[in-house]
Amino acid sequence: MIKKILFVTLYALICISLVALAVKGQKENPLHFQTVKDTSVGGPFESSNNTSRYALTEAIAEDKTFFFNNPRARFATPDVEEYNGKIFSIFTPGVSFLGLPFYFLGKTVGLPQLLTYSSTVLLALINVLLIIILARKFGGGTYTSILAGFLFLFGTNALTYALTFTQHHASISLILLALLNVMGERTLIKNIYLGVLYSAALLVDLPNGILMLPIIIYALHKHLKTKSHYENIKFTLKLNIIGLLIGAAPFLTLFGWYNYQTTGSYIKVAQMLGRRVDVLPSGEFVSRRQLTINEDEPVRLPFNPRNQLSGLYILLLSDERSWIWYSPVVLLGIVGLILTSKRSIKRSFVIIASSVVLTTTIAYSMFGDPWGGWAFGPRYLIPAAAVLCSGIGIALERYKRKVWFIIPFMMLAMYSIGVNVLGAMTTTQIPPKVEAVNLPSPIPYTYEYNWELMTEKNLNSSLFYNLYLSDKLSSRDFALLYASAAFGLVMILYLASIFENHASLKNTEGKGK
Amino acid sequence: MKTPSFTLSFTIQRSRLVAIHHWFEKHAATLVLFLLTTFSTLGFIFYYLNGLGLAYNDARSHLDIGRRVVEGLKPGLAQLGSVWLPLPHILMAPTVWNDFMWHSGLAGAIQSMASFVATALLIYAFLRKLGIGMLGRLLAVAVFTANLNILYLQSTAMTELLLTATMLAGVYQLLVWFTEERIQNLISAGLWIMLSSLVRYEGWFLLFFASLLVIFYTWRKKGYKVTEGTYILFATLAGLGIALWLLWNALIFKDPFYFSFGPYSARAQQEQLEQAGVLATKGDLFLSLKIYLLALVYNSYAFNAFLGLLGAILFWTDKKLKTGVKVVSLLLLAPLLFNILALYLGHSVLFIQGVSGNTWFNVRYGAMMVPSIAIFMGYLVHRLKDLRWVLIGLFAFVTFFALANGDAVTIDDARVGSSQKNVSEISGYLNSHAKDEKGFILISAASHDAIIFSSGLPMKRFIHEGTGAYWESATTSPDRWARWIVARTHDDNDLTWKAVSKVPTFFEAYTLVAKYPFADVYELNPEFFGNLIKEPVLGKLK
Repeated sequence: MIKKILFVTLYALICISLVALAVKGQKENPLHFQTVKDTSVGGPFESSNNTSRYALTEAIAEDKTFFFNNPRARFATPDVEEYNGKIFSIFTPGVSFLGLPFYFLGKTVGLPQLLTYSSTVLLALINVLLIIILARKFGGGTYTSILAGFLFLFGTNALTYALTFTQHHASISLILLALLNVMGERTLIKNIYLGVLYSAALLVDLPNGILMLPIIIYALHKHLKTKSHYENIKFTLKLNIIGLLIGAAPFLTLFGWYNYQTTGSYIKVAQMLGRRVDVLPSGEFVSRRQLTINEDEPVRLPFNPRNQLSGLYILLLSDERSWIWYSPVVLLGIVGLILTSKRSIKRSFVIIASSVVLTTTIAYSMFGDPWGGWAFGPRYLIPAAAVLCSGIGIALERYKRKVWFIIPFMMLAMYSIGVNVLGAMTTTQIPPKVEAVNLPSPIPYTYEYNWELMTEKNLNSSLFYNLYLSDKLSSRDFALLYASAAFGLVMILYLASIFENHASLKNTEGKGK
Repeated sequence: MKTPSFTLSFTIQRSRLVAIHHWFEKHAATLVLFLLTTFSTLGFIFYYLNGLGLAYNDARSHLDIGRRVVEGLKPGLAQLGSVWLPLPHILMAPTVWNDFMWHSGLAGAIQSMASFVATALLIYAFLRKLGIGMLGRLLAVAVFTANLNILYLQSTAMTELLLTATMLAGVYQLLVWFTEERIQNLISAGLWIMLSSLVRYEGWFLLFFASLLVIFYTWRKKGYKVTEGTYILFATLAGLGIALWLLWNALIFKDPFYFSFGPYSARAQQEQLEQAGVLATKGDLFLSLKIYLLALVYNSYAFNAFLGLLGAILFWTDKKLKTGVKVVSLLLLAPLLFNILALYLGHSVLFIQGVSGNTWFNVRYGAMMVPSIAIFMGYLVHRLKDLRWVLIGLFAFVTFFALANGDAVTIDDARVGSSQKNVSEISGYLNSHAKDEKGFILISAASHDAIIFSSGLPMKRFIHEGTGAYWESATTSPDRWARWIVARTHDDNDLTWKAVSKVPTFFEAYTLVAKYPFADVYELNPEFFGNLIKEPVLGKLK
């Protein structure tokens, strides 16, 4: 047991170090990006979904306001909105709020950007832990569950987005916590906690409200019990259901207040208004209203089934964004979830987890921009990848001694790690095909672009590399070493799992109800 | 930490719950009937009020055909025409005489509305026959009815829903016959298939396909003798519609295949499209398959289409289902097979925006598979018990956004695709200039039925190809018969122009008074008014 604890602790330290090695930055004194708002490719400010959120954190911390001054407005554009002549972030404020303590801490040591972004890194590591817990609950062994968490971080674009200041990892944390919350009996405390998670998730990103709906519905359903008693059937509704509302109230109030301050309405969210202004280099803004569609047109909701076919293609099959091209190892998680669903004791929980995967996929397949703009891999599917990765632990637990499974697994893991290390070490800014081919100088619309940046321009976004290794190693060699180390850790975990005497899957199969 | 748990409880007698369940089981179909009738009526009112109910050019043409049977210079059954099959127009005849019923489109929509409700009930009955639980049945009904494409088509004078209702009724009766072997079900199936063969040509394919299955199944089970008798019984009634149609064409147009090879046939239209280089599916099976599957997906929504496919796979691999049930259910694929074949052979045309240029055309053909998809989804939900509520939830989620965003490809086709024809300018001109004046309007109904309809003028004001002696006289001596002429100038595909442009006095007698995108209006010069006939003097001649 002690050996196991030591092993896991050591492993966690290595894992944290590995993520730290990928953190974005450039050498300079003081460190680049801490005072300079450089939005060049590969940097932490390369995309406006980072800068808009960071600008909000900075505005709150520095000027005690939600509104942007001219330089910040320019920095955050085009992800900005205007109301009453004031410019503010188009995004919900959760991520920026979360970054505040880190920003203050960073400011005291002269590293505001680095520390603010470390909030996402921290969440990414928490997510690994949550996936491990989830995989364990599904019936995975210790090492196979750790492997599942590890593959989520290093075998999917979760690593790339762990180095940004975006909503993805915060959303995943809240979704996974909610999933773990709905296991077992409902109590008032658990309901309050679930209410907090749901409302916090809304504050982080609006679509979380939809992605978490299956969890909430399941939780609600669990409050209604039926019991047969001779000729009668007794229906019981647990009134601690009210805890959900109690828990949701504080964050919903905060959200409403924020909306009121920015858009003048408690329920009008900036994201729903669309990008209606352009900020000029001077920081002044011009309205886009005349460019937008006729305002008499009925309001269109962001999800439309008309987009679904092409959306599913983009997210599930295309070389632009799909799992098949970017993280095929994730798909093995489906095997794990199917295996778990055959165990009646876990079935309802697997169904809820699967419904989160399906809801995420179905929702974003209907979204007008399933690419997620200029992005690396299927960034909208990261929450689904997290749930599916927990299934990898189960599949491995079952088939870890089967050559027909292990060989493809290792190959897929190696490929997935390779591709995603490439993304983490370079840029998230891959355009959709339709844009890439129409640029004045067309660029590749797959991770081939990352490869080009790395091999032809020797670009590497790792702060560690740029500080200490850039004159000793090429960017490609560093990425290769990094990916090899990550894959080596997969091998070690796999070998450890072989020697683990875990028989929960076999022993509990078919038991319980 | 242990927290106090407050609960709200109530008890119901098991027998009462069972009674409620039985009551619901017994009356669910009636409830569905009532709800859907309301739903259907509201749907019609909605599309009537926003003017979309008549957006399809074909809807206006169908209404005109029906109207010509009862009103015009030469009313009568001969006005049923030669290309479109006659049942929808025959069904219109009792109501289309009324101006409101004609111009609101209700005379044609009412049969689509009844078919909408009937199809939903048939889906319910089909699944009940398969032993599918109430939840699966109701979900399938919802898949069909909560589809904006279906809701729109049921509010128009189009023929697709009448076809789906008659086809599904035929397939349902065959299902009952395959399982219970009662001869009256076979006869009933024959009747419905006969009716479907008088709605659209998909019905002919269904007859052919159903014949094969009836022969194959009976032969395997009961040998040649019984097969011969059974098939004759089935085909006599089922094939009667086609026989009558051939006879009709022979009697009226002197060619039993006039509908297929005549100047207004789909074939003739397709030849024009082929010459224009836009009949890309002809001879290309893969493209035909792709185009129809896309139409199917856009009409049924991708999520439903995928679940329908999954349901179909599980259905046909289900070892618990009888072979006969599986065999007869192949008929649910008839619209799919027919449309792919028709596209491949070049007998049909269907444009998908983004694949066939930047427009839609006939994309509604995909809606004919929605009832089949609904049935397979109902089966799937019944079969996958564990995922049942997840699938229902996701269906509700997708449907909510489809309805909220008004996602209906059939409306896009009707509004901005090639199936639309906005003739309001020219029809408005005719209405304002001819309504209170005497004199006939010479026009080709084959080219400009939408203008006739939208003008709001009575049918008897128009001399068209179906008016016999009026047409012949007016196209040889227009200045004696036509005060106004509507035609596409310099286009010989327009029969009016083709005829009058050859008349030596035409350019002297008429002045071009209005020019519009779809046609121009010529008016007789006042000096010719003296010889102009303004009343229907030919009576029943020819």
